[in-house]
Amino acid sequence: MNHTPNNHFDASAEGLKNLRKLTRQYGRYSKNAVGLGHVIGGGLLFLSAYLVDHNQPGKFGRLLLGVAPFGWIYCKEWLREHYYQFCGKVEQRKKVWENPLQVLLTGITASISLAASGFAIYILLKNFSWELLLGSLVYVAVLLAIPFIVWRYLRAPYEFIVGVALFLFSAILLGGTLLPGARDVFVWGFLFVRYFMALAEIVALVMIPVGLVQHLEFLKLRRKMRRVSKEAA
Amino acid sequence: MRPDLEELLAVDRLVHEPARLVILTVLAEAEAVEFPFLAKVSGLSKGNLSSHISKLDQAGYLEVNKSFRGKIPSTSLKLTPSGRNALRKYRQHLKRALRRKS
Repeated sequence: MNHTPNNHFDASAEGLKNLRKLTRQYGRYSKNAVGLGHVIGGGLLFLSAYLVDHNQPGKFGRLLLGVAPFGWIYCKEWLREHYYQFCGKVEQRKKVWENPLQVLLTGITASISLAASGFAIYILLKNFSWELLLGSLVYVAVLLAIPFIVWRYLRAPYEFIVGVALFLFSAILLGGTLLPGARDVFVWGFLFVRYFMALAEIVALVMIPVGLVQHLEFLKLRRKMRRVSKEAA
Repeated sequence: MRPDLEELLAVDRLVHEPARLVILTVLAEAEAVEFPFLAKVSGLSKGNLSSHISKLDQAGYLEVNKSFRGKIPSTSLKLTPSGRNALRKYRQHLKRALRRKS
């Protein structure tokens, strides 16, 4: 009786080597490779940074850009689960340093979120108004959501940079600019803000080709897997 | 019996079987793998694959987790430390035996 699988992934040394490579390549799309998610995130970040930096968007534009990062998270997770892992989920192997790094990054973002939220609440208590209360609530809610989003959805390094930048813009655009001290902070921290915007634009521009390359690699991998299943049939 | 042949015959037969070797090789490259991927890349029928999986599960080489994703049942497989160890030992064993033979 021959138990050898009837495709080119036989149990020969070469066959097993190919199989290992294919599993690793496919598994990358469960975590590190985001493909089109990177392209969308990069485009969105570039647009947010550019508009905030060069051309203050109006109310509708602010609302749209502020909500967009949540749409991006949904879109990227949908692509990961239903498009890139089209043939069942393969979880990429974890490296030893991944969990401690994730804890560290979540801890850092949680500290920054708490500090910025504390600052917003301090300003609100000093200059209470109903409009400011609403703005502060939205601002604090988005800020406090960032550590959770980092822990749950931003596992790849590029994802982390783009995601955190996008949600910071979201917090500022949705509620942060209503705070009376916000303008002072922008002026006081002018250099830092300029630096952050420029950095965000550069990262965004890098993300787009990275995502496109990952997507093209995926298309190649999918063709290869379809060929395998045709040969097996 | 010649010592090189004796060594070759002493390989873990549970791992040595080609279909099971393919399953363990795939699982060794990931944290967890769902059944459809394994079926696709191995080219084995669902029944055949299930039978090999249950043998490896009985030996404690892999862990089977059944759950539901929405209304769709999903089976996820994970290599246990003992399965990883068995695969590593099998590779070493085979390399040693082949080196001795050549």
